[in-house]
Amino acid sequence: MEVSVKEMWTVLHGMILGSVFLLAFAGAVADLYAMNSQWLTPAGANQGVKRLKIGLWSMSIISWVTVISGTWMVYIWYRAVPPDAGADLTQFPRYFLLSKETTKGWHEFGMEWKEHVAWIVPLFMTSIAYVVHYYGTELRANPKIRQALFWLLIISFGAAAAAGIFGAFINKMAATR
Amino acid sequence: MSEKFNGPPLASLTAAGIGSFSLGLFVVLTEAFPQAMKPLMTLDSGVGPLSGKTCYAVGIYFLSWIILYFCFKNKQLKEMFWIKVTFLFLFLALLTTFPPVFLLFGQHA
Repeated sequence: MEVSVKEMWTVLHGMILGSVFLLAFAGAVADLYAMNSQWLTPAGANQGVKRLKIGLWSMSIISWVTVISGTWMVYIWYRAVPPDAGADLTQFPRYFLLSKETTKGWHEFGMEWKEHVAWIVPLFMTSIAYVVHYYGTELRANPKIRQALFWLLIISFGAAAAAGIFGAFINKMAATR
Repeated sequence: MSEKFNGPPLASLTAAGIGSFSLGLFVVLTEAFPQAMKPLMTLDSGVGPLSGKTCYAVGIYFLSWIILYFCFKNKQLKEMFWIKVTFLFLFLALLTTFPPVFLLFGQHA
């Protein structure tokens, strides 16, 4: 049952924070979609907005912690340089992946995409949370903004999902230990 | 229609677009001019150029949010225009952070 510090952070980054973010998305998108003046009573809107604010600010914080821990901890271990040519490459994931024709795509496409696209998510999540916080229940009467937020949320989810899926696969191919 | 000014929320969304696009721009520039850009983007040797690309993009996001906030504070703007601008920036950001696209600008081309 031993878990190294590196493995612990990798789990926290991908399996805990990343998964919680992706799960929370379903609730946020449903609440945002339901925020329609024709469907909700004022009391229902109040409740919905309260839930949305808590949900979206939480998702924003989670997305920041996920990308910061991913970049400033896990990624450093991932791209560590082997000390010499004969080193055991399984301890150096980036170099392990690049050492074989069959696995180099996981770095050259997967990691290169993941490490960049993930950073778009906290920027948009913070702004989406701010906009919902700003409008509150008035969001019901603003279909254009609501629709824009809905699609921005979906795209942010797509970016987070791409980063998460590639992260899981890359860690499967060359685990950070 | 909402009674609140739409300037502040549109400033925030546009800033997210600008911040994201600046990240994509740094990715493309680092790929196109590695000798000049990699040292500039490397704020931490462990993280490499990704440290600068992301830190500068986050800085640009918050800075542009502050600037746009004060420009748009008490204004009722054309909503659809600024929403389209945000989506345009986001589209460009997604495009320029996609490896098959940004690698076109590098030595791999």
